[in-house]
Amino acid sequence: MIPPIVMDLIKIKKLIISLSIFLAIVLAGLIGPIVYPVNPVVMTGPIEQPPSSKYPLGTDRWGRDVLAQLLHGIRNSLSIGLTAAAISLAIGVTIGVVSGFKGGITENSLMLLTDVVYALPSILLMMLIAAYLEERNPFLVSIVIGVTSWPWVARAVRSQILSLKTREFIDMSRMAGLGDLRIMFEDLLPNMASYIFMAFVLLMSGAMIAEAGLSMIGLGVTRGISLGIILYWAQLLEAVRRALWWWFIPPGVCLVALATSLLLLSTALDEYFSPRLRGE
Amino acid sequence: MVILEVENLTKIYVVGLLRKKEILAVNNISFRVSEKEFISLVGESGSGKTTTARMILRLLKPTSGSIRFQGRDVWSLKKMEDLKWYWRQVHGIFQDPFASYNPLYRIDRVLNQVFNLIGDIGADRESLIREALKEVGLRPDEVLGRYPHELSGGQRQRIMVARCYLLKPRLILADEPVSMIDASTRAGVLNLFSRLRDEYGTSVIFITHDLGLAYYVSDRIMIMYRGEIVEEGSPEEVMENPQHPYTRKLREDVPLLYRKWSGF
Ligand SMILES: Nc1ncnc2c1ncn2[C@@H]1O[C@H](COP(=O)(O)OP(=O)(O)OP(=O)(O)O)[C@@H](O)[C@H]1O
Ligand SMILES: [Mg+2]
Repeated sequence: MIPPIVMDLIKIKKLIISLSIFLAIVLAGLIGPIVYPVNPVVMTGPIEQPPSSKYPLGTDRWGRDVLAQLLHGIRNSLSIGLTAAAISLAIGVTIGVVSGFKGGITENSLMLLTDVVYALPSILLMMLIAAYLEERNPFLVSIVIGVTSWPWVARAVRSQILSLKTREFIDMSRMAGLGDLRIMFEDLLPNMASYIFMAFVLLMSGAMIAEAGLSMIGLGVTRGISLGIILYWAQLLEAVRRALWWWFIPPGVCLVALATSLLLLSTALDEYFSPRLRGE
Repeated sequence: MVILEVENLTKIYVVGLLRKKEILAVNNISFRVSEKEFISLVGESGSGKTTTARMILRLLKPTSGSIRFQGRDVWSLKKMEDLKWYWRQVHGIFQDPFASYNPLYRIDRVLNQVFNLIGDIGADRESLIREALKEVGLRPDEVLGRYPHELSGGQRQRIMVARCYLLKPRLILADEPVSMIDASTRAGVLNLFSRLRDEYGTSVIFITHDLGLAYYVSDRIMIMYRGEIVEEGSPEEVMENPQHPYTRKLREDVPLLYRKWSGF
């Protein structure tokens, strides 16, 4: 049987549209490289060819197939987005819950840490890392984005906890002898599940944009391909001025579509959940 | 025998981030509660009743003062087993029966939680729960397995009373536990507190706005006004010979009905 919440959700247009766009691109990234098994990083044809039946999205300066790059790029950008979002979420939720729940010195020091990280852009960290590491794989980039983009989550989660904490049901559990950990996992976190999911969606969207941003200024992955890396080369070799549209428009559109579909998804979920969270 | 001693209890809330403001919610109050005593704490909204109860329940740290239960300083209890012992003995019912339930769980949870304090007593939990629900005038089949939002305020309040009945603590702090229960059921629920007292020696601190109701049910009445206990005495003393102007004003608000019955 389909649970009623699913029935409710599929009635929301915004949600369906954003989810379809997102899933379509995800699907392209997942099965695309299998259906279109062209190596994206070796020369497979003449340079800077416009799209043709042989090269559906043309080739770049080194004669590499842009479609193959795009499909692999989506895959890597998604995996960077997912990994970075998971890291940010884990840090942000943990710090938010602990500081909101514990209060006192714990809260103050964790919030200080949050402010420090908030002020520290991922670009700075990446520049430091780039100075030491010649080679940067997607996982490293995910970590850098992940450990720098959690502060807003920590703050938002903390303020949610602060308001949940004053509800009497927390005291009922406390009086029943439930420890802090059980109260967190049984009473607090489940009440924030939808919120945390929305945060994850937003983090993922932000992380993919951040990856592109880092790549565009030459601080992205040095191994493998990503949407940001395709754009980086296109920009470096003045693809825009030279009207090599097939080189920069597809990755740009994919990136914007991925990020905005996730944003849209989170607003749709917000609209659905918020009235319910406020209590029917 | 005195079971609870409250001495010079004070709570100051500090609110605001930049411009700190202090709210003196409870101001240096002292009182004692004896075994089997039914005390009413009466006062207007914002007088500090809930704050007092939450400090005694060891949920809100006092700014100063001490609370001793059976000779032990409540706020120096730290270990979970000591805390469980305390909440096993001293339990509460909160003012807001909506916020008292986690909306994600069936109401059974608050009843089952009691066994976390009692431990395994060998008896059949389900039948104990059913019995407790019947005691507060609920039909177990109608409420068990349901979510809080599916029940009325009065039903939720009675489930909270049932929780205390299951636990049979030495002291119950009941913050307006019957405010949403209709008059006819209310008598039965209040009676349950009396029965706990007679059968298990339970004391009750009953928090209410309603001096008339307090007059009926209590052994002693404490009047709270702006964070202080301004008057204390037997119901007769408080009703017939009020000392503090606020008590006099409160008495005037008691509906005629009560006064007729009690003959003044
Ligand atoms: N968490 C809090 N933070 C700041 N001030 C608070 C807080 N809780 C209560 N107060 C203030 O402390 C005072 C006493 O509040 P309390 O809830 O104890 O009153 P009460 O007697 O229970 O009132 P009521 O009958 O309306 O429930 C009030 O002025 C209230 O505004
Ligand atoms: Mg109150």
